[in-house]
Amino acid sequence: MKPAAKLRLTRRSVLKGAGGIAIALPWLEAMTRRRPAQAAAPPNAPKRFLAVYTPGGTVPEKWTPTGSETDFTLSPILAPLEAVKSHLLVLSGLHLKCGDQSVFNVEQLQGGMMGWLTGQVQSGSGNFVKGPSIDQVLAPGLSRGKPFPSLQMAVRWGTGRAHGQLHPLDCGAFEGAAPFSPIPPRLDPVATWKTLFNDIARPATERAWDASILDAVDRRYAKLAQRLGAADRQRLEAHLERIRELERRVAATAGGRACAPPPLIDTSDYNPKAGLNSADDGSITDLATDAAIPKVGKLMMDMTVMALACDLTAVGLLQWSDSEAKYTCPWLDLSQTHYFYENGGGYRPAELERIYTWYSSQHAYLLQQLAGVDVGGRSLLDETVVFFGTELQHPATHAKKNMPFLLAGGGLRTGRWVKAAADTPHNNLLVSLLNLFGDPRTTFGDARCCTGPLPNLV
Amino acid sequence: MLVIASVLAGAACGKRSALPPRDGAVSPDTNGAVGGNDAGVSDGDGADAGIGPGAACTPEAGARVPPAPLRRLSSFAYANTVRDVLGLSLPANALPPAGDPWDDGAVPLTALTDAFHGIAHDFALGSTKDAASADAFTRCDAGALGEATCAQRFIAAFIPRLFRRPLDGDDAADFAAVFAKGRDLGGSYASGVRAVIEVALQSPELLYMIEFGEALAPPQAGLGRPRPHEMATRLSYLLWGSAPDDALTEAAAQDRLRTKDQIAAQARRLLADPRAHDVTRDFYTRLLRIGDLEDRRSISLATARSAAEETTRFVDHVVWTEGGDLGTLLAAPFTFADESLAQLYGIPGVTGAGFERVSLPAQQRRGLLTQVSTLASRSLTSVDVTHPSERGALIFEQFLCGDLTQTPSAEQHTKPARNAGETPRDWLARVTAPAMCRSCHQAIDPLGVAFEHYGYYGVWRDTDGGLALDARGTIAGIDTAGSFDGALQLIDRLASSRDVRTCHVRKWMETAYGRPVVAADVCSQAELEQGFASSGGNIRDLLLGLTQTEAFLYRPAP
Repeated sequence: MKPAAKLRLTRRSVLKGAGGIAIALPWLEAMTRRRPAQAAAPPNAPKRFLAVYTPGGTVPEKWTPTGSETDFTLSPILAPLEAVKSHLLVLSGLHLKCGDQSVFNVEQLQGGMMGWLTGQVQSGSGNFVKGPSIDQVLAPGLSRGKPFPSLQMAVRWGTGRAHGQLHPLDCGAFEGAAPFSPIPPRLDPVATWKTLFNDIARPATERAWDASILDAVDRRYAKLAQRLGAADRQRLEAHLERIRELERRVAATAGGRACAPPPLIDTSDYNPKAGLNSADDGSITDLATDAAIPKVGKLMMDMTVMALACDLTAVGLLQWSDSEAKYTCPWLDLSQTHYFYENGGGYRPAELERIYTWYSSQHAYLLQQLAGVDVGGRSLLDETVVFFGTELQHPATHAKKNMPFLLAGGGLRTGRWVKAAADTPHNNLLVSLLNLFGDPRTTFGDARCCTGPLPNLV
Repeated sequence: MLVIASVLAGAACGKRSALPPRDGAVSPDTNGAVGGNDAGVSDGDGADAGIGPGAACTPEAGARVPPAPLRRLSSFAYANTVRDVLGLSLPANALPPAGDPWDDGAVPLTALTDAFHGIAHDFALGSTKDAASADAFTRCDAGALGEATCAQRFIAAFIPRLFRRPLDGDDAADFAAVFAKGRDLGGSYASGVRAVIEVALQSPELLYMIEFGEALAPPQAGLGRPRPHEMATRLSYLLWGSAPDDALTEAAAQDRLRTKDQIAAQARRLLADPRAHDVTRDFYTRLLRIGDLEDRRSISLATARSAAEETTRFVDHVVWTEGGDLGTLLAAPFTFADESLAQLYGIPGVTGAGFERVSLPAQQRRGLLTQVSTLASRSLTSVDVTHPSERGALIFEQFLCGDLTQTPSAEQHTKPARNAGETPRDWLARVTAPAMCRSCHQAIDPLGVAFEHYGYYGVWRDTDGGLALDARGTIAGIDTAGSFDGALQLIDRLASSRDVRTCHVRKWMETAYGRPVVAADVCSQAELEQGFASSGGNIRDLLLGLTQTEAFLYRPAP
């Protein structure tokens, strides 16, 4: 009803992120001083965090590996990840307890969607959770000095009842400070490319020119602001802060030879706002947009990798669709929506297996790209923790035990299949992920769903 | 008294108005005549009259110092400014859409900053492609006169025009440094000029209306007024939505914007210029929220363009050709239509793409609120049904000055499906039954239900897909409160309402002064309301009157 509200949210989240850079690292440092033993990040501590979301759980019997912790065989669904198996930590057995409708009075999809990165319990139907997601806890410290505190992107998003808007059904990232507003993902691949890479893609002489101009503009705002009353000065300084963001973007140097903006492919057949047209029941489809999901998804993965490689940010969230999953998969010759095969048209594991297997191939591509970027003797993947997750385990029953999670990247002992003790709440994993980066806390999210760090990751 | 307070009596639907009550505070004999000098800024021999106890409006003068918060140019004003000062025509989508310019929360400042940067860069580059074009742009032969001389002259001519004020202390040196840096980086006179243009076009002095003000003589506690060139800027943005022209700049330079008469004379001159029409178009486009017409999925692009053109022609005609009163805008029995709109309205005899004045079907349509532009559904999802709440909210917020900013969030606005055989009216009654919904919906829904005879893009219908239509309702809390059956009867009540006129004055004040109306405006508002009433709701007189109020003439002392 009030589109202005959405703009407010967007801008506030940007401001929060930008402002957070200055305040949050001293927090880490303060922790370091107070509790050096726990806070000291291991020398090979990861420097970046990436979360990747896919909707609708998995087909459990086709997902679970066989064998032992260090000698295991990937399941049919995970088979496409064979080439990057040594970088993987397959993690089974966790309970997404905070989003479990059999434990708490939460909505079945929404509770899992929002609880995945926050560990928070949804309080009342229709409400957003009230707590930060781990990516936002990490962003201020990891992205300090970088132009973007964090980067959220989504492919074919807001597909059903969310109608293309922020909704408990479709958001994973929540701001790091109260009121913990959900963060809208970037949807338009072309606009995102321009925002991220326009400046980098230009010759150094042009960037030097822009830097010089913006520096002069900056000084005009700063000087004039000094002559104005407090309220007016604040307005001008808010504008100045936007100019400084622009300056940082212009100044963002290509992080050595590793930084190379991905080619901007033609995505004119893809409507980033297709979600706006969606029907509650998924009956409105957009076949052209759906057919473009693979190439847009690849572009978004490439942009995510290069945003990290170019030091534009150190924290990202990439969402494939949302928990409603009311998109079709024409490239797999599946004409109904993903939701239809989950339970809308009855549980159809054969079709679902094809969808989840395809997602595994996408994960494999992303990890290979990360592994292929040399950041000075190590690969980008060596310095990044990647968390693949979803909002539930079983697409039809919406069960939330024995979640199909994957970890990959630096700081972890990979090449293993770790089976968590039965009913271990997944909040424990969130604690351990924070610990990997030197955050010493022992609990995260709703206290009812956390019993401490998860052992056996590093 | 004030519409909102009573419409929302006892309701949790949004803030109450911050305005003081009109009764008691203000004498009905307020000096409302516009253009006179008797309550003027100057007594004629150079001393300022200021806000005195002599005025009939009773609150202490000290409580009536009008605030003057920093204003950023709206996208509309920015586009006009670069058009008039630089001859630069921006494409329609060059700037992101913005809300009220004073409402930072609603303005995507990051996108605006990027757009300003891009426009400045492109324009500067295009104006200084080579030595010849730089010479032409600066009107100086750098080869003959020397780069330093030309740069200095260019800065002295260009900056005051763009910043709408004389060159101030540091400007010459600051921009000389910008020129030198650009000269250095690009290696030519042209690149130095380019840097000056690019920095100036992003400077706060262009993008904001900067005021420092000056004290009155003799000084009056807390009260000041804009400096002459600041007054010229106030005038031109109010009446043209653009920068002052040479004559206005000249008047400011010669200190001829001091008395109310001098200001009124300039205002009349500006109002006689077609640029004033841009201001009323922009105002009514925003008031009716039809700036997004081409993005609406409920109508085709061709219909959207025709409908926008209809409203533009209608507003231009009523305000600038006819008598120009609010009542006619709301209840005119005519409009302007091309063939496609005439067909949609059921008016025979119009052919082709040309627009002509037509009489509306007397039992079906009158005025702005029954035009396709305001009726076409804004919904992005279920496009083929009417949205009475949305239609009612438009009237409630824009014509009754009701406040819906405190409504439940979008996610709390769940929209349960309509049952088979259920009319939108019945559906609304059912889904808005909870108390948290009622407080707002009971005020806005009846106003929208009145328009149920217009389908989702405005075509007349006798039934809703076979279901009987009931467009009866009651409007409460205004001077013309009462029941109605259908939009035309509601429109009659609105068009003859003093409270609607009061709200309209307030909307114009907010636009003209670039800020919300506050308690300190009590006398300005009373004067405008009275002038508006006695002119029969004349918009042109209101525009002139807006330049004659305390709110316009004064500001806090520096």
